[in-house]
Amino acid sequence: MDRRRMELLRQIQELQFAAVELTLFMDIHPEQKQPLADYNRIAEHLRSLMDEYEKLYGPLMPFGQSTVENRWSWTDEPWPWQL
Amino acid sequence: MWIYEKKLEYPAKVSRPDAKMAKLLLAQYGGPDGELSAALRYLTQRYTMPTGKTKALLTDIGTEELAHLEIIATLIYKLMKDVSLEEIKEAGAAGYYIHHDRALYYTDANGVPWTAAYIQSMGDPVTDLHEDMAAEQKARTTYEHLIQMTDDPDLIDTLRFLREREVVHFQRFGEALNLVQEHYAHRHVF
Ligand SMILES: [Fe+2]
Repeated sequence: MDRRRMELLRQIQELQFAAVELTLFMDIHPEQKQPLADYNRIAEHLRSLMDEYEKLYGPLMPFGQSTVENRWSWTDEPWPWQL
Repeated sequence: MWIYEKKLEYPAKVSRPDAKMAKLLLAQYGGPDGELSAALRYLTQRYTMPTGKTKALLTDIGTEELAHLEIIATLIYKLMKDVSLEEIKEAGAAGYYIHHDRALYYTDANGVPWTAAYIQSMGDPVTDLHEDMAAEQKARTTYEHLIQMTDDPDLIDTLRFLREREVVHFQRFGEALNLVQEHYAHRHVF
């Protein structure tokens, strides 16, 4: 597995984890403005990193959530538990 | 990882409250061949599938089964929401009411709680895929039994959709089994 891929994956995990934390927080504290601003900034950055990852290494999601170029690379190994 | 999508895969409507059908639908919620069993069966077997294609198929069907679990839960919720205590007693659902009121709990139609003993994960992909094909047929039969028990057209429409999905899953598992057998036949040449 090449280094660029592992780096990109790590960045995606970090950003997505922040988004998970903010989601839980805002579920109980929806009235606060700062977490919402953080969430939107993170969501945008996350989307651009996931786009970049998918262009290089294939779709991250099935069921119409990611577009897939050329051939159905969704089934390509490694799966997450093989890394 | 998984992300929740705030919508059903297919509409789940009912024409009227019906405690009897709610109780029977538990068969596909926490029963042996229900949607919880299906999802957990495929999502645990996928790790030891031998190829990218079969890992993908079990991941994707396992995920779709979670969506079906949500549809069944929605149907049971709607069937139970406005039902009276009298109707609950008449439906033979008083025991369920005592433990769970109108809440969703993983039991079969007879109140037997879900158990991991309903599923298998043998580490042999040929064996596991045979179990999966059998499970899909049992789920299809259960949906046919459920459809026979009601005349609610909205409920029947959703149950027919779920029945049809079992047929498709069976077909895909059958194809996966062929791929796996070819995979091993090819390997054993060397
Ligand atoms: Fe299924």
